[in-house]
This record gives sequence, C-alpha cells and structure tokens, in this order.
Amino acid sequence: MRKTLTIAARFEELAKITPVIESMITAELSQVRDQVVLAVHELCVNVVQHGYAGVEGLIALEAERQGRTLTVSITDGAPNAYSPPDEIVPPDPMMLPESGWGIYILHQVMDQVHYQRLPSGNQWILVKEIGEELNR
Amino acid sequence: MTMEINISELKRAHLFELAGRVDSTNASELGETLNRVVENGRTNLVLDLYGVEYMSSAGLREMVRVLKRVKKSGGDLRIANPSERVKEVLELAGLDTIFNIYPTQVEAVGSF
Repeated sequence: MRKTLTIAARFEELAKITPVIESMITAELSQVRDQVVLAVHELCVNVVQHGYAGVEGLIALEAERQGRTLTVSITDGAPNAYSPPDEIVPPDPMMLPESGWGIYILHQVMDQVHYQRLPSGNQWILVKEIGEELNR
Repeated sequence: MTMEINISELKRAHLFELAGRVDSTNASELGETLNRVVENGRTNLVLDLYGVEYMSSAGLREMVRVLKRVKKSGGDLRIANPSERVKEVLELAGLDTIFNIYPTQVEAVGSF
C-alpha cells in the first residue's frame, strides 16, 4: 500500500497528514498510530518553521507499507538545510529548555530516521516497524 | 476539533480545563491564556488535560514557558487528570518528572 500527499508548507495544512498516516495502521494499534502521526507532524512543523522559515513552498509526503514496515518519506524544497546532530540526546528537563522536544520525540517514536540534503531541498525518511501485517 | 479552554478562579488556584487538540496552530493561544492570569498576579495554576486528544511539542513548549515563569514567583503549574495520549507525550519528552501530575482536579487544586 502506498499513498502520497502534497501540501502547502503552512501549519494549518498539516492536519491533512493525519488521515494518510492513519490509513496505514489499523485502529487496533491506536497507540502506535498516534505515535507515528505525532512524529510526522513534529517533523513537518520543523520543515515549516526552520526549513522554509516564512518562505512559501510545498511538503511532499509518501507513505508506504510493506508487510510490517511503514516508511514515510517527507521531501521539501526549503532553502534551509538541517544539521542533524550525530547523537540524539534528550533535552535536559531540569533546565526547562523551550525547544528541541519535537525532534527528540520523533527519534523516540520512530525506529529509523534518515536525513539528506537534496539539491532542491531536504528529504527525511522515517521507518517504523508495526506489530501487524497489513491485510488490506 | 479545535482547542477549548474553560477557566475557573478558585481560592487556591486557577483551574484551566483544556479540551481538543493542542498543536502548532493554537499552542500560542494556550500560552497567552495562561500568561494573562499570571500577569494578574495569580501563579498557582492547574491544567486539567483530560479532554485533550492531541498534544504536540508546541503545547509542551508553552507549558514549560509558563512553568518557568510561575516558578520564579514561587508558584507552580500542576497537571490534573491527563489523558492517556497526553501522558504518553509527557513521558516521551521526559517532562513527566518535571510537572507535578495529579490524577484528579481535586487533588491538584488541593495540593496548593
């Protein structure tokens, strides 16, 4: 099963992602489903906020289920590149930082997170092993 | 569903009952609502999160900002009755150890 979606890179557009991700994971696994929805949203918020940073543009999402593996690819045409850290460390809650939670949650939830800078933007590949076969 | 905030002024604390989704489109509204009360000198705050069906890091950020602010004035932002989804997000972010979390409104308000 494979689905694609292209949206404008605006916060109010991000809700359109939810039904695409939800259709990939059955309701019986609602906890996993909610986690993946949250992770993809967190990443797209970062694309809007830091990748495009006020510039108009698009976000293309491609979600594919092969057996138990869900792969979500998120591609943008944003002018700004990311510098993913070599190691993901949790924000220190005792310091009460006001940023960094979204990307940390993304890494907590997904089994694999890959990033590459493209000539025309950025691409993230997120992989989650789901505890069920897809029989639809 | 959008976010709804119901505010009650109690003797010991201000109670905010939240419902719906708290995400990047409306989290600042949550921060503004809480900050308006803080600006009036009320720094004992309780956030009832039972009705929250979705909370993103944007919502957590606003909560952390307000927590820092009220703590400077000797107050606190305490959480009551978080939904399972909110509880999980707080745990994923490691914030479940930072906020005082109570199973009911009565216990959260009574803790002040």
